[in-house]
Amino acid sequence: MRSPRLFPEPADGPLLPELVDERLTIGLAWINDHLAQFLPADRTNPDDMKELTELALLYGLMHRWLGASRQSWLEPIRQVLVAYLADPVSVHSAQRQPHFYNPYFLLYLAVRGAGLRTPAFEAALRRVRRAGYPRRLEMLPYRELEMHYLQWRAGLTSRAQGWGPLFRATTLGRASSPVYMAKWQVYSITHALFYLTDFAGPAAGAPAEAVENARLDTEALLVHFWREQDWDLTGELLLNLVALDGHDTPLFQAGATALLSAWRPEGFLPGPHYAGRADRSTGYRFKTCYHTTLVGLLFCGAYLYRKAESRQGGEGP
Amino acid sequence: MSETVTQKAARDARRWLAGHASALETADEHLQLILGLTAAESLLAASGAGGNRLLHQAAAGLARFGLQDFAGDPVPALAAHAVLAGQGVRIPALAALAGHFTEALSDGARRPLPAALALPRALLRQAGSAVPDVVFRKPAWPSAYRVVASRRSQLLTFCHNLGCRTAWGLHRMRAGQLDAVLPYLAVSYARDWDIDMVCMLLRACAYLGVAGHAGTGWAVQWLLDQQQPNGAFGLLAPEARLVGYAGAEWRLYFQPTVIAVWALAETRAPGFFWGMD
Repeated sequence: MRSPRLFPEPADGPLLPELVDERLTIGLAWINDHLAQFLPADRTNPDDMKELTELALLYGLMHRWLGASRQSWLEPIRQVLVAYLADPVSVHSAQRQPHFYNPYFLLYLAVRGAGLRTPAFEAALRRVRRAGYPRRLEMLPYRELEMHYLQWRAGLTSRAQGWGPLFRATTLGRASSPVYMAKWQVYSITHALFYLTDFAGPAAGAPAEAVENARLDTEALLVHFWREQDWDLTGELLLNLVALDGHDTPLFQAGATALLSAWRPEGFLPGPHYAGRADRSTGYRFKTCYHTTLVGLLFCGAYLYRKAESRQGGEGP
Repeated sequence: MSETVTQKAARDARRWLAGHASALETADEHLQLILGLTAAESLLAASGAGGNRLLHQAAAGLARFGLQDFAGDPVPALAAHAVLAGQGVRIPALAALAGHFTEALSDGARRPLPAALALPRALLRQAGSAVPDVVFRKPAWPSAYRVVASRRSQLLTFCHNLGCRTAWGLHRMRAGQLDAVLPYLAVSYARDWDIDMVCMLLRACAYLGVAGHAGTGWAVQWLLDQQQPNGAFGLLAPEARLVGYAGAEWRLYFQPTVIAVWALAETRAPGFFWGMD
């Protein structure tokens, strides 16, 4: 375990919403400055698609969360995604593997609900669904929740998967002790909560006991990964707490302040494998920090969205 | 948490501790034995002859030491003094140490004393010493932010100080944000397999009145999972091998067993030492 350094408490700094807003601004600017690096080196290789798929997820959610005045911030990302979807190589590669956990369609489903549709991808989607996508895939329960969620958000199904049998099959639903959870199980929990709560929440219709248990698990794990300065999981767990309405507690405020204080002035949030002084090349920094920065941005967007929602009844930040 | 599970853990730990009494070599080890047996007795709610007999044997072992050159932590010595006074046992060396502390505390009649002296004062009173009424400075608690970011050594010191300031739960205090953070820190250090830190945090939680928190429950369950079939606490064979010890070196498990039983006793009945349960 890395020994956590004692970092100074940001006393008398700006209030949390102001701090979140500032990090959202510099973080999105950093993403927009690095869009070329999100593009797959080989778009016929599904393994090269991870970065762009995650960018699409950010776009789909931010499109919904950011108010009209800030939609222009997403325009550079939208243009990259539109260009990608228009490329026949993308469509053909997507269509080749209907029985595969297919990043091409994960990307398409993530943005389809935000209005990014192309006739070619629509036709490809119809064909792969006819061939069994995604019901013929064997997946971990939280991945199944993801597929249900993305199809619902893409407008392909009428309702998301609830807190039923699929939830109870996940690590979250099995009520394990957070002491014994391996890291991949923690990711299972954060992701299951993303899909069960529509990322930002609220967890409407969920059994109160399940929500309370999820909040306790999330808080316990938050303290651990915050102590470890793992901003990736800290960000995901804070996002979960936003969705579970656990964002007005002193613990949340302190954890969020720690995350936001770790954000670099250049606009990125250091990933768990980032070693600041070892290699400062742009490529290294992107590779080790892009995912954590996306997570941090999702946290910022969700937090401001829920704050604005509670103030105004709907209009995003 | 099933009371039976905890009681069985205490019974097994007491048997293991008592079984090694004759092999103890230092005054500090004897002091630890007395405290461990006291905590186990509390969990077993058995102040009968068996418990008393073990304590008397431990006291006889301690009495072999002069303690003139005792340079260890005075708190276990004062605590053992209080325990033995309750049993009608007086060890001159411990009484002398208590006398020095009583004198030092008389200073507090003139000006407020550091809050950490609340524990020695309470122990002296428990032992029947005539300590003056004193005023303690109000403790200032760090924020949740600072505590989570602390290094291990800093957190150990903080928990130790918290125990002193609350006089092991005698003075109930609320510590604001820390109520919500310390139980989860116990979970976090359990994930790191750090039995010393978990026990200190569990005691801190008990002193702050949050022993019933879900995080505390997870950490207690983990602590119970650390007990070996022979009653000792600590699954330390991997660490022992790394530093070249044979797996059967019982001394490695002595301190963890004492602190585990103490933490379990505080969790079940915060402030048990003062008969608050």
